[in-house]
Amino acid sequence: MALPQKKYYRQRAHSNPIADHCFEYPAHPDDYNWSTLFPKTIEQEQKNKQVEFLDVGCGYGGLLVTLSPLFPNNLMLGLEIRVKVSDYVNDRIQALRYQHPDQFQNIAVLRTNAMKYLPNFFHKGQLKKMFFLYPDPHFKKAKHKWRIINKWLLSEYAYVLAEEGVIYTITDVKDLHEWMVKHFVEHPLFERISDEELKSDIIVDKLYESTEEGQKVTRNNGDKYLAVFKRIPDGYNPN
Amino acid sequence: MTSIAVNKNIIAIARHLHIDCYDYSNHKIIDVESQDANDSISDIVIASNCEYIAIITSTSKQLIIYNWPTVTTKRKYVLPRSASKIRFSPQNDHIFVADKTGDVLKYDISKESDGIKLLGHLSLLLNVLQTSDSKFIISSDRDEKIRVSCYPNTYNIHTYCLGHTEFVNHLEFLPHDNKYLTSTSGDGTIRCWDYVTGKMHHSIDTFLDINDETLKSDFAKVMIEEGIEVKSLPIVHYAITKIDESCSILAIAVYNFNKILVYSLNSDNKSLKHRLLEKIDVEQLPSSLALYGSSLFVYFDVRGIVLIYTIKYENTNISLELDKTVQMFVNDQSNGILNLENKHPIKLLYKRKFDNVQEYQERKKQRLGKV
Repeated sequence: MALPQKKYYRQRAHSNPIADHCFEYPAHPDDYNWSTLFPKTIEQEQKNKQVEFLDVGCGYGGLLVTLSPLFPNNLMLGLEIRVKVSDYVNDRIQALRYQHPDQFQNIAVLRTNAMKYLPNFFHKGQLKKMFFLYPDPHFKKAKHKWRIINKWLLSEYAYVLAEEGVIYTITDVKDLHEWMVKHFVEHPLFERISDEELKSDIIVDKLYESTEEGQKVTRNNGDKYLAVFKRIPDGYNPN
Repeated sequence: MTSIAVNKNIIAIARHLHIDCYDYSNHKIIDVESQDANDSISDIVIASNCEYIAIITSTSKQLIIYNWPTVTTKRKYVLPRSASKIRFSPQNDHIFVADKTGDVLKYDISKESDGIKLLGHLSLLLNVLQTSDSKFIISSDRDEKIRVSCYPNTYNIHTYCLGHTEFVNHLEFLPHDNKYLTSTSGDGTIRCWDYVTGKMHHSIDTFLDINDETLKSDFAKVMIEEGIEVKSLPIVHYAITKIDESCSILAIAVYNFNKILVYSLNSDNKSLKHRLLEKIDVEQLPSSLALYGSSLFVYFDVRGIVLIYTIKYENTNISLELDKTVQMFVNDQSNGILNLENKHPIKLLYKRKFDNVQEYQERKKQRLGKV
């Protein structure tokens, strides 16, 4: 079983996140059978193991493949809305599992709309880490509501993310970086993690080069803007 | 769309751009101004203290609050987007608006200022409700979801009540035990939730009491022509009222089914039990239902009539009896010829099937076959 060739899976960068697509999703997270995505881990090892890392808009799956050996005990899922691209990632993972038995059992991909269906797949506070790498390919001023990071969607991400959980963002578009930082910083359930604190985080370095998008930006000598945030408890006090 | 609101000694009916407020002796007619002939009132509510009646309009997007019983205008706002549902806060000082782009807005009725956005779904909203302790605000959408947000810190989503498999159009607290939320859906079920934990405690499948496969398959055939796949007959109208400390009564209208289902829902040793009490024959699908005290109100737009049934409660036996028929909009020439049903087609609440996966998979199979 060979690794899939990208030329068969190319697709334009954008997909309308508001339109009704035909997605299969469970009515409730308890209804979803995760052993289809992680057969070895869930069927043979730990029945109740849950996804803890989520790469939203995982593209061609570079980050998942990089992180897989570094966090062998965490299940990681990539979400990708584009049909061909999510199929590429799936074929890639299947081939890697075939070529390296016992490896890459902790990563999988799902085609869904992360802006709509996260609560269908994940319980409150289930996730430990979320990734938004090179999001919003067509960054436009008018389409705030369509952005993967906006004030209202941050509440949904805060819901699925555990307190102390971390969200990583990186982009080559400075305006988008500033937009994301502004919204995270303004949201009462998130705070930015300082560059100093990030020095000890082994994931940060991987965010620059592990993805297709990241490599493309490097080839074009573009800048990369990183920002990382922590889910904090709600400080609201009725008195 | 709801066209009836009932409270102590008032029945208020909205039709087209007119409201008929009947206090059991006189009819007071309010005419809503609009530049658009196709505009109509899309929801009507009465404040729990009976001091206000509020309405929203569909195309002119007005939110108007009238004083009762003077029927003078208290406030008039223009909403940023078309809304599906309005509710008074438990203290009757605010109005919550659930709109079609997925936002919940809050209007302070003591002020003229615009509404404040409290939260947003990425789906058409169908209902909104605040808990009586004001700690939560609950919203439901076309994507099967019921969201429970903290209040006033609405940026914090407390939980979701998940399990419905179609749009969630009605939300009401269980009147005899308001720690439970009840909801109805296009999936034909009424569900009862502990909204603090998000856990479902009870479910009533109306199809078990309709039991008419032909009705269901006829509906499915009409919908498939619109590109919509349906598995159930949707609940369209819903009302609930308390009978005593352990029992509430529910009235349900299901699409295309010419009977109103009336259930009792009892608390029994920490669990909930339901019982079908009656199937009331009606000439057509009612335009709206309401329950207040021990009366059931069934409104038919075309003829402009309200049927009032009295709930009789003797020992443990509950029955309903037609008590009176009230003609609304007495001087309106359009009685009997008006048909508003088609203006709010049910298909808008469903997601269209759009399959872009199967075609890709087939092409991929061909490609792999060639190698």
